[in-house]
Amino acid sequence: MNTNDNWDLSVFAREHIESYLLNYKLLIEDLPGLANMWANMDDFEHHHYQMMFMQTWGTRSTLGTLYRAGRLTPKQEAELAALDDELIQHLDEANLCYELDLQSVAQLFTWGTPLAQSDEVIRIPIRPRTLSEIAPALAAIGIRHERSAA
Amino acid sequence: MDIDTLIVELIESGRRATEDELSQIVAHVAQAPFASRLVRISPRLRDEFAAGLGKPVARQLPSIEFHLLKRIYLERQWPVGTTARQYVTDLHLAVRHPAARIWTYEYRAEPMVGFLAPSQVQNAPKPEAFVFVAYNAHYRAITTGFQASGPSAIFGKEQQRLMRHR
Repeated sequence: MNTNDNWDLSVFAREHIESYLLNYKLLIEDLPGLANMWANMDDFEHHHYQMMFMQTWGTRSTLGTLYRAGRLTPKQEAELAALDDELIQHLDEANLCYELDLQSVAQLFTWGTPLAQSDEVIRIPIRPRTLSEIAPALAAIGIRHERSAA
Repeated sequence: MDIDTLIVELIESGRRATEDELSQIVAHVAQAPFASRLVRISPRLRDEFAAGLGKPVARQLPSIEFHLLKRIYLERQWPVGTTARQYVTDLHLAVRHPAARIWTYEYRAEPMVGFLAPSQVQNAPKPEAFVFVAYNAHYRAITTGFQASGPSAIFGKEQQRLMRHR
């Protein structure tokens, strides 16, 4: 997310954080059902849900900032980690409904996620055709690493 | 030129609106309706809304009612008892606010104008600093309006061809 505005993190009360987490939770819980209905929805309904997603994705970035600033309680951190994990597991449905891809969910790790502290294996469902789309970018990173190491 | 066509032209050309064009866009959106087409509601959200309302909620609602219930009972950004008319009036006030920041952009290929103004919503249980209003030039309607902490909580790589006009 754009970070041009200077934030006073003290304005975020605990209730705001709970509200952001609840919105995020509902979005993820509804993903499988929404994906099932997606083909039967018209363009306006798609737009309606994408507007809902836009708001929640924005507050998810805020949660990352708050997490990095140490503003989340241990319980909230655990919930955020579980929700991020669940979103990643539902990446295929999130891609269908919200056009979220691997690069989009990688933002979770730049915004800040307690999941980054975990050594547990996570599974990312991904269609090979999308891998071929991002392969050039990944390969470019590899080339840069090789050059800097040489 | 029709204002919705102007919005699309601004997005496609990537140019900044003139003061006169901006005034026309503000006047247009400040009296635009909120989208009212029917949308489905998940069982989980229906439960949340029903708990707040104290009565069952239909499987489908006009988009504006869906947004209003979410703002009141889930996010607590508007007080209980707010009507659809009051909600839209608050959004129109944000659009007309002299300090409103204005952007054009595409969101999932839809032509949008976004307005971010200091919040003037009264008696909100969980107020935020700003009100954000998004107008869709294709549907000729406001398609979301919520309170937000700032641009960082709204704009990211999902918004394409983002151009700030004010």
